[in-house]
Amino acid sequence: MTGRFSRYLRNKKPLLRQLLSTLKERYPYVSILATDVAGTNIVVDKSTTSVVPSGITETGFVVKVFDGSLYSEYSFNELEEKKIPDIVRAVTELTAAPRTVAPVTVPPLTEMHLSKRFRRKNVGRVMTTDEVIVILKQYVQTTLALSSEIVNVRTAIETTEISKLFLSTEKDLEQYYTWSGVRAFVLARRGDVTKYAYDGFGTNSQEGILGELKASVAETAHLALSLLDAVPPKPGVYDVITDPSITGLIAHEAFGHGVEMDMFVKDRAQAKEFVGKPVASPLIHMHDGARSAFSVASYFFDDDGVLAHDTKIIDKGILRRGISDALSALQLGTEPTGNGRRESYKRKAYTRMTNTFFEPGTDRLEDMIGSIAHGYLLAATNNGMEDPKNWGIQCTAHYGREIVDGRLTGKIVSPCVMSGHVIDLLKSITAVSSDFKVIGSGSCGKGYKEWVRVADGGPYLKAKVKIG
Amino acid sequence: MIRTLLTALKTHPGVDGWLVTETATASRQAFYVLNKLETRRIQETREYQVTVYHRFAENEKTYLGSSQFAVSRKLPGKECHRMIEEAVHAASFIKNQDFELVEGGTKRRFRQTPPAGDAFELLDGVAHGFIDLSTDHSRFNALELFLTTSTLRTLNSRGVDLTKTLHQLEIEAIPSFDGEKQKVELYRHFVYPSLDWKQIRRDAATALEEVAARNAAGSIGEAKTLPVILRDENVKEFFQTLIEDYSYGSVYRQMTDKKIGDTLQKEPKGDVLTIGMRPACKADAFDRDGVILKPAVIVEKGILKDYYGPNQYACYLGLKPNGIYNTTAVLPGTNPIKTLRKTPHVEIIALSGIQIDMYSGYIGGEVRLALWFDGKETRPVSGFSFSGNIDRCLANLRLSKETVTMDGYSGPRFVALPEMELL
Repeated sequence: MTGRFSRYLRNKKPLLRQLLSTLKERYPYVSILATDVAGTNIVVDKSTTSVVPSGITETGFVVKVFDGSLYSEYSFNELEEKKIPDIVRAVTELTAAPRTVAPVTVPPLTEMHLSKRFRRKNVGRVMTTDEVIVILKQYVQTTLALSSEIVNVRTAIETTEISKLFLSTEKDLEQYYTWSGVRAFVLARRGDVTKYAYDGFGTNSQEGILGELKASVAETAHLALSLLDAVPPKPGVYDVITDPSITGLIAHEAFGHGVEMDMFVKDRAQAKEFVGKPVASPLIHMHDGARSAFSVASYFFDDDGVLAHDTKIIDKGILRRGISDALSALQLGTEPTGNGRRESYKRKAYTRMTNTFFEPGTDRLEDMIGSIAHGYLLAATNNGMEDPKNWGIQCTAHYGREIVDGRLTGKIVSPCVMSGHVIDLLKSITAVSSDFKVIGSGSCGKGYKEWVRVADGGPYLKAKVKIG
Repeated sequence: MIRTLLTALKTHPGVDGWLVTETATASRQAFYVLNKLETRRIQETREYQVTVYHRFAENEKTYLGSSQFAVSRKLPGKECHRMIEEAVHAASFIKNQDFELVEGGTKRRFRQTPPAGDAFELLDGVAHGFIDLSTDHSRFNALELFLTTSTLRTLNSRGVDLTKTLHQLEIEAIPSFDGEKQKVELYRHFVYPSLDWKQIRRDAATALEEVAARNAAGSIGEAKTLPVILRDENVKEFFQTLIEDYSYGSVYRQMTDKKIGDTLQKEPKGDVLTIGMRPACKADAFDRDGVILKPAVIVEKGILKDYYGPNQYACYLGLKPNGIYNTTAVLPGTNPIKTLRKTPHVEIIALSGIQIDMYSGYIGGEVRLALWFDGKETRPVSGFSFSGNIDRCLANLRLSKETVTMDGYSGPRFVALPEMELL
């Protein structure tokens, strides 16, 4: 980790200004996003170790221009003074290419003057690769020794440092931030029954997060062993309590995708017709924003050069507003909310979630468990899929703990695939705990592509849901 | 850049082997919203993945450590050496079992025929194939087209120098229907290795027919138990998930307890499975390690016959590597779909995603559109989920005689699963 904004981007900035200036003579709007992301993923298991680049490692540029009727983008990664005429030529050819489909009607993006530098450094010491390998190996060995039923243990840390530069006529923004995420995976086997458990979390301290991983691997191992006795749940409609990760999954997957306002532009979201109307129990308040929590998805400005926000989406069960990227906001006549994100400089910006969560309430978890005659405490996000137009749910919890007559019985079911209608689920919420956790160890796609790092969470919720 | 990298790798002390993958991507992209053009994009990039190997001995045992780094900009020789030095240092702490990189032969280049014509004109032409089908009630509310040429070159320290140029058109389409009482949509994702205009138009038309059916879909009513027929994309996912644990890496890491010779289908009463892997096309001739790809049989008549995957783990298991493949190929069954549809069943057209957990034996998903045949009539249904046990499915499944070829899959178009819980 260098601990500072990319020297490469800093060195290229005069050339980028030159490119911006040349393109400005031809186009009413021009911006350039430059990214330099460095990162390493170290993975250790029982028998192998790997050191590979983080999946988000990249260096490159994307030019966005508006030619009076259409927005066009050119993504490239070779920038030298002698290449500038080639880049200008490529952008010109792109905008001059014949069109047989009429373009949407949009004005040029307008921006307020803003020049700022942001920095969030790694906290604590940065360990060397060999030091990290030794620690991860030690966790693996200790965990394998817990039980002969543990057949493999995998520990991993991904350390990234992200530099982004956004230049337009009005904006000159730089941000630098780091993130370290750890993962634990334990595979257990008894006879022909094999089960697994996993955990993942992160912060901007490599040293700190490696320390926290120790306890996590041990807990993950105990869970994997417990899951050896798990059976699938009997399909049915149950009273459930969702842990913060499943609460986050519901906030993000079941509802959040539907308030991404590029979906409003495409008439792909039912939420568009529900602004100002009840969509959840009055106990529910929901937020999203890169500034609304501290996680892997907390940046200072988005890939459109819009500063990070904290957007309150649901207030007392009423849908108040959605979140948006710059181009969608322009088409809808609203203000962008700092949610314009790209998988990479090579991909288009879409409206994407960041930190998505429900606010904590006042209920106690023990009381919530005590109020259930027969149901489950659902835990550990496995996966989910959005359906913004029709509000269908598919969210999978890795496991559920059985509750009978207000008590956890010790029986575990796995996996728990929830389905049904989002609004029915949100309106069924009758208790919200005072706990609160935002977890950011995963990536989210839009449809089946455009993967970005996101975080979600909230309190424990009591709701009614179909498990099938 | 490749010359600078190779020179540095060949001369740097401590480098006992190396593998470089160069990826050049040229992509033209067009985005349409409500039948209008919203954005056009070009991507022109060249990137490198470099793996450095360092062999060392400790307590009379030889290890081959490796460390990988990415290069996505021009680096001066000095910086290349610095990155290689860091990689050698990291690799010297990695006590992985020793193995040999793939041995090279003649330098070879494989090319797929590119689509003819101006890329953006082609994309607008494809878009018209979708947009022109619009009616007062139905259209593609969003359409994203990606016409991409990828040139991948793999080189290693044992003489591998292979290049392949592949083309593909990827389409994400959202067929939508505005009904009197509701608006509905489906999600469709297509990948074409060439511009097959007839197939594209057929797919577009089918997508609109299906979304109209979703609008007409009713409830399936009370919970019931019925056989389920999967088709197309869900069949592909079913088979891909089924064999993903039979990679050399999964076997080496003990992710599966199945060994060559074990049966995947206990006491089969339905069709027995023969599942192979093969390259996507003739030009997709090698994998990222430089292994020349040949069709391989992984499961034969329900018995695990072989594994697939990266060279490193094949060597660890003492096996000759088959390589990393793009396509799963399954032998079809003997029953025409007409026969599979004869008795009451639910045929799934669109799922939010098939869920298969081989460890818990779970298979299921949330159904967005299905056709329910109750023995008398067929009607579209939605808003329910199905679930069942994978072992029971494998013992009783039936494969259609009709086949389909799509990106990543070739084999029976339909798979009938035995009775499932529908809720």
